[in-house]
Amino acid sequence: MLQQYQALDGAIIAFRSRGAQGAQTAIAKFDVDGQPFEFVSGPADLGDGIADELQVVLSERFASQGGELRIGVAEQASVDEAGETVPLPIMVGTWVGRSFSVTTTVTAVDVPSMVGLFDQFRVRERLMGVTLRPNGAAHLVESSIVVDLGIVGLAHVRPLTRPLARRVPRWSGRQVPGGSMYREDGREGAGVLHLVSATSWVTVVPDAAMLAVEAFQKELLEGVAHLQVEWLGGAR
Amino acid sequence: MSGVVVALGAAWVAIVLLIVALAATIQQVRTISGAGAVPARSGAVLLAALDVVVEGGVRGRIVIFGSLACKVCNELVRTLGEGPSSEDSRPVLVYHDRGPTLSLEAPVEVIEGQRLLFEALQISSTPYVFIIDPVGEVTFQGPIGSLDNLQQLRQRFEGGVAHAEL
Repeated sequence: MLQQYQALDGAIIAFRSRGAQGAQTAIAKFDVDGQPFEFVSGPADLGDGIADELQVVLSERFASQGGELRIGVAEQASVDEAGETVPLPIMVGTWVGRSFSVTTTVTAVDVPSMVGLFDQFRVRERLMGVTLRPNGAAHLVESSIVVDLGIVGLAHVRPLTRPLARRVPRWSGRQVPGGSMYREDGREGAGVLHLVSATSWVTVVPDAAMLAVEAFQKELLEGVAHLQVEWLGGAR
Repeated sequence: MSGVVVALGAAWVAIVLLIVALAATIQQVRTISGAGAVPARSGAVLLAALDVVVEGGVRGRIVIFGSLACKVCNELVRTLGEGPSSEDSRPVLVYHDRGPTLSLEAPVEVIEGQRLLFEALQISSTPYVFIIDPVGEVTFQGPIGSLDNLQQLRQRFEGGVAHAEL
């Protein structure tokens, strides 16, 4: 099954798998005036879902760049260096278009600054998702997408940038139609599979509980061996 | 039916995983320099640019940049339309293109077609509010996205600016 996905930096990802693919989200890290920010985009209600989980009410609403920018803040408990519980304000900002949204979560920031943060980007809703184009002070650090492969697990797809290419193992992995496949054996990443193509690096993280099932191991290997993923374009 | 339930369940699992990932990467932010609209130092100049002429001086004014797509702006227009105001202290609603259709007696002043002013002040999100004091200085400017916050601002405005009616 071939699907195309939209990355936040404008890249299109051609993603072919043996089985059906579920929910997909795009993630991008930007540096804005020397500070890191992470944005996540997905369906229109994704930001509302994140706000609900963080118990944030999105009470401030703006018409912004052809969509609605919703902002809310909630105070949560955090433990400081001295072990004391201190209040920590968490602010969620989500830009919502017709079908997709893009969301960021920050601490200790005010509403005008959150509006200003989104103003640092040209936000556009495309056919398959949202793109963020920096206006000047911001620049892209990393862009990726996460695809739900159902029983196989979650696939994290990154473009094969030059720094990432230097981290590809020197030995050849198992050759499959989608590139070279590698398997982690260490205790930390046991069961995690990597698929490196000419343009992408896919990391498939299976459900840890499923790894104990012998039949699943075969399913996992087969599932990843049938993946073909290419990262096309974008602001690399 | 069960397929739909499974799909919904999978979607929520993905959302929860994302939230965990987001929570782990929450960023500390104090200020974002260079963000937002350009400061308008003189309210008198802003009113002049909007061709808002008041005999006998500027008096206090609230100027709100809005858009028809802005739900809060539309609620605001309804709320402001309910209150009394004198001719020279009416709130000014500024629109990029077309504004709402109001009756001639509406206690607000609507100014349309201000694309250039939106661009000059770099206002990309609405509502965006300016409060101008009786001597023509801007005492507040910024995005205000809820009626509650606008009401609070309005009370501050009424408390700090003599004779201004909203």
